[in-house]
Amino acid sequence: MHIWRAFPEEKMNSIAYFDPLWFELYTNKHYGPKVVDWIKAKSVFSKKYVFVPIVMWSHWSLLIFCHMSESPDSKTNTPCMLLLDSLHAIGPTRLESIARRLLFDMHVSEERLESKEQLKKMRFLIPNVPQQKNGDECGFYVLYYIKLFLESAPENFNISEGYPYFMKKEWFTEEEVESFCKNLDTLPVDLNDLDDDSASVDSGDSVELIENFR
Amino acid sequence: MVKGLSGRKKPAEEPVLPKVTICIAQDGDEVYFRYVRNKKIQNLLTLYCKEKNIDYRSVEFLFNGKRIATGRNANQLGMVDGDQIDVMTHNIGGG
Repeated sequence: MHIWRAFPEEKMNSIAYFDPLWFELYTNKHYGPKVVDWIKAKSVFSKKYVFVPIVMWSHWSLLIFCHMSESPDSKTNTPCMLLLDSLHAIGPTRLESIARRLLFDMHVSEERLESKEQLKKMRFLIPNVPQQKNGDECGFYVLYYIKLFLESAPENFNISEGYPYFMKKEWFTEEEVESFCKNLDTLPVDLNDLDDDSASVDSGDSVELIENFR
Repeated sequence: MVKGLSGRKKPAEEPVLPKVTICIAQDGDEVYFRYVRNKKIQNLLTLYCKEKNIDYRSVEFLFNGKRIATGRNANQLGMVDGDQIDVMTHNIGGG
């Protein structure tokens, strides 16, 4: 996820983001508890925004936990969940129950004091955002949502007074996404992420399989 | 019990390399390996795929939730005995 490296450090300190694999893994009974553990290392309750790129049913969308550090009664920065989806036609509401379960598990794992009832009241919102025109653009839209949200999210917003000013259907145009995609190659690359496939795989004596372990 | 995969004899003066026991888990199925710490983790992962008869390129390996840079070794990745690598099938495309 190199897009994150394009932002200044002080911005990155106020946010957290998950690997796009995590959300779907969370729904798998073998991995769910592990994912909650991994999330614990992200200190989500000290962050202004927590970005959760989602890939489920071969479709990308973006969940943002907002103001998780604030009290549920906060008037200026009410905690809420925003789901940004470029294909409203296929029903993004199907993600709500998983997102709520995750929200609850995150609170339990960090021993937060919010009650189940309080968490149930936290709003799950699907703002009207620009929609994709073709069948294969959802991933690019998610990247562009991230970029623009990070650039323009205000210091404070209270969802009961409406969405942040920029979150509407006319947020950006198709042409803007296209030109953003053209420039994706110029994003900084983390050398650690690159696989070193230049050297051949060593012969087998570096590893042995243990049968019937335990 | 233990199946060595090498027939090659090491010269006597070569120090025995410290190994680490790593578990690779997929959907509740766990396989254990002894692995030389300073060799590329890719060796381990390709062997796993061979054992399981799966395509190396069709899966993603995670360590503590992070995708593994396969050119690194267990030391660089900070792996200790008993650590677990999670395998999941790619499902990253889509529209």
